[in-house]
Amino acid sequence: MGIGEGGKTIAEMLEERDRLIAETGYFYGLKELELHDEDPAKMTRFNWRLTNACITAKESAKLLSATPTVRTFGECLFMLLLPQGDCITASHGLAGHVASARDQIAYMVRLGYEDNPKIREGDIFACNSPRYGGGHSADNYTYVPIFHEGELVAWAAGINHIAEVGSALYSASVPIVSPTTYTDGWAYPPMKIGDGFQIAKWWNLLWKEKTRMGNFNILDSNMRVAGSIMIHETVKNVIEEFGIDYFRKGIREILERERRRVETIVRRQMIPGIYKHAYWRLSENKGQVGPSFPFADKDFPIHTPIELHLTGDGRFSIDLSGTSREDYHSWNAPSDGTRRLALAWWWLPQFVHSICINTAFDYLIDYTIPEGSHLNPTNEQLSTSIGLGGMATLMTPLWNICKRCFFSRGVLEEDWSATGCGGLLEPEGVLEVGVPWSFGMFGAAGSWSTDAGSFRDGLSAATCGFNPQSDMGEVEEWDLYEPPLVCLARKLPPNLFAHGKFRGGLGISWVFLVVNAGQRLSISFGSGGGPRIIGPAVGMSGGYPGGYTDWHVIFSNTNALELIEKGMGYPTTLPEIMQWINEGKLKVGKIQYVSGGMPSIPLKDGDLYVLSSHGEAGWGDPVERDLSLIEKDLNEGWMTPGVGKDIYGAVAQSVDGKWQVDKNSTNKEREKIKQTRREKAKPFKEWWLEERELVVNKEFKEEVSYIYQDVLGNAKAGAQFRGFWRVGEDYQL
Amino acid sequence: MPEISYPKEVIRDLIEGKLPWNQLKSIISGYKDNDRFDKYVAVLQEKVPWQERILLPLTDELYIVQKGKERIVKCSCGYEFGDYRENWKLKALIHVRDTEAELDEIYPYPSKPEPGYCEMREHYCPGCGIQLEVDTVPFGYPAVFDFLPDLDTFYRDWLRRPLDTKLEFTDLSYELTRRWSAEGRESIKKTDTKARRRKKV
Repeated sequence: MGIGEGGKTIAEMLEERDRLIAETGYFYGLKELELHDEDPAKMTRFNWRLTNACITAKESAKLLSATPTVRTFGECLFMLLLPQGDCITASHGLAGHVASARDQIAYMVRLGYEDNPKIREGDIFACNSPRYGGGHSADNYTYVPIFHEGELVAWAAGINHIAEVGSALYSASVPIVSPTTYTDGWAYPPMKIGDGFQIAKWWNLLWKEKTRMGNFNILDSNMRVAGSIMIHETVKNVIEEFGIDYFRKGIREILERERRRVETIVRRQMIPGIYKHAYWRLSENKGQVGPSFPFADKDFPIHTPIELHLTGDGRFSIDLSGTSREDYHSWNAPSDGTRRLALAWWWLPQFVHSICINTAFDYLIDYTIPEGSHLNPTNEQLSTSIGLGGMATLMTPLWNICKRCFFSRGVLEEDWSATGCGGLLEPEGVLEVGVPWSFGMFGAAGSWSTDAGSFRDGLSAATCGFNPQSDMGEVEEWDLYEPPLVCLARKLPPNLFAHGKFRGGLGISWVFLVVNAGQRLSISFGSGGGPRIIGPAVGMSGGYPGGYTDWHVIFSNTNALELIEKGMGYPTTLPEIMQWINEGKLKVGKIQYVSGGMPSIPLKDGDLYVLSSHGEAGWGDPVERDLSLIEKDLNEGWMTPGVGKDIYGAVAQSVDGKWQVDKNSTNKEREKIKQTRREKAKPFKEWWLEERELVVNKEFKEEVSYIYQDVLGNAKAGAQFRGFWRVGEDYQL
Repeated sequence: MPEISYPKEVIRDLIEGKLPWNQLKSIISGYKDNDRFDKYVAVLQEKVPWQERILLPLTDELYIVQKGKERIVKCSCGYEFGDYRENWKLKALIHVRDTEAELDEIYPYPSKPEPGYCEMREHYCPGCGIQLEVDTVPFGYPAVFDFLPDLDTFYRDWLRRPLDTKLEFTDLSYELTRRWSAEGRESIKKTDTKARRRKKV
């Protein structure tokens, strides 16, 4: 006798769901939406009651959280799930997580949790391990089953990104360097952490034992449980009001209705065909992991060739053949939940324009990922501390594919893409009074700019791709949680964007000064962007790619504190710092540059730290940019006249302190640029023949060779590589 | 869903970025118009200086057009790239930025890509010199075929009006490189006698 409908086990209900979808093409076999057709107003009221339960839970419970990461940035989500785990509706916030709950519930079922430890009314379950469907251990999930007369009818769930995960090598919520699973920090499988709607006492002790910010993490755990119980109570009331039969049928109808809605959107906005995109990044481990992990003491190039086939029946087939192998870096995505969560970051903002955030779109996707690759690893000793990131960075290529499609289809207003520049600043230390502290500052993650579109520039410091409710927050509030790091300024420096007829959104730069560092202070930075490359940040239609990385400059042993004490002010951007150094005003002992993610680096009083996130991709040939837009950029200080002339062909002069672009001179300059291009460029065939000789002679840098070894080792990707360069079938590296 | 249709002038203003925000916002938030694609193509058709029917816009400057029985990629300047099932980049001009100095021109901050590991390929139209696409890839990466539309399925099943002829839906780019390989280096007039910089570091 199971706990599901009519005495079925949840395992039987899972099988029934999948069978009915496969047999009929409709969710749960629902060819007709009877409740919607009978009384649409009643169904709308029913739907809103459930959605509001999630929104209310979030807006109330978030006040229990310890950090602005949840309260301001919105890094949490509350959901209502089917007994099988499909998300029916959710609050606003960290929306992608609707897609991973299904996998976590499935794990509980496969592991036999119905029998041991049993699932009963009042139980509380939790999970954060990517191996069991989570994203990364920073993302913690809580589940409260909802019963009606002994039958499991739904789950209430909450998730949020916590402050610190207890990684072995350094404090962070997203430890970017972790050689094995044993250095990842605290990752736990689905666990029953309470009953009778009460959290077990040992649960809070574990947070204190296992993480550096136990108290913060306990408060966040309380928040997730409180919100889930709020949803539980509301759903009980809804069942009482509408009846259990209506509830059971209604929640399935919502998902089928949403499936039809997204299918219609796909057919109205997309075009069937094959789309290709290259993505790669570098995981810089060399010199970071210490002598205990010699096998991980190297830099790992991580490459994913993406082929998306949108078929005539509106399904998305994503083929990642040729993806780089699994290895001793932190970017391994170990479970279906991790992968589907990451893909939800792509499809949610592009297609799910609904009153309820749900997982109906998930049923339109199939994917092929080679076993043994970092996105489908088999070695359980590998780190998964950014397992989500390894897959999630595909959202930019997939957004770009939609953007290309929306342009061809004429739905220009829908194009939205961003490159993903802006991560988490994660300082830690011990205050002078001996109090240890640690924190994850999401301000940079909340100030991504966006790519340009076909009729407009990108937005500046405006968004966060993985959290549609994000807010970069107030500097003063972030400062409160990282006492020795004082933010002097955040600005949009000139020329920190990608060029185009429409330019990408402007990049942002933060300058911090260390004041009262205490006994110890260090900073790290979790970034999706990779160093030394520009990966998925393609420009379009002749626009330049965005700079796909955050970068850091640390100025040590400075006299900045002394300058401030003397009332001489302080520099607020990197160019200003360099100018002050050149003028001899600012004394600096050492300058350190780091690109992309940054493992722990110690700081001390008076150090200056500049964090910059590059602006995003452009659209169209820069020499086509409207002159009035160039004048505006020059006069507002976003672009310097030299860049205006060299890249845009704009001949400008300052008249009474205002830049004016001369139309005739600019037209001539632009013709000159186009003529120069034709003179310096080669016909592709000629370039191909020359380049092919280098490919035949295998003149690859070591890291590039690593990428192609996995491409050539895959039947499909290898055939495409060999077919393009016309090298023999025995060509290997 | 209700039937929505916007005047052609609205679509033209959308393309040209002239719609006021409140009107643009209402289009974003509203149901989509069923005849959008047709009006969009009609506006673009009026803008190009040639007569061939546009089947699908690819970029600001490139279109797939019907030319006789063929479907080819054509630039707004009139330059023709050939069958749309071949990656048009293989018929374009290419310039590769793979030196520190050339990358500095585009990315003046330290966040620029590293030469030898990453190169930036600029594709120009041989007819007018316009920059059509820019790719950043590792050295030796096959040209990325961004988009091979399944035109017959699109017109037949999604727009409900099949095209006059049906073509096999397949990537023909590999056939092109096969021919180039057979023809060899003797088939081209070299424009640059300098040895290319070796990429191995």
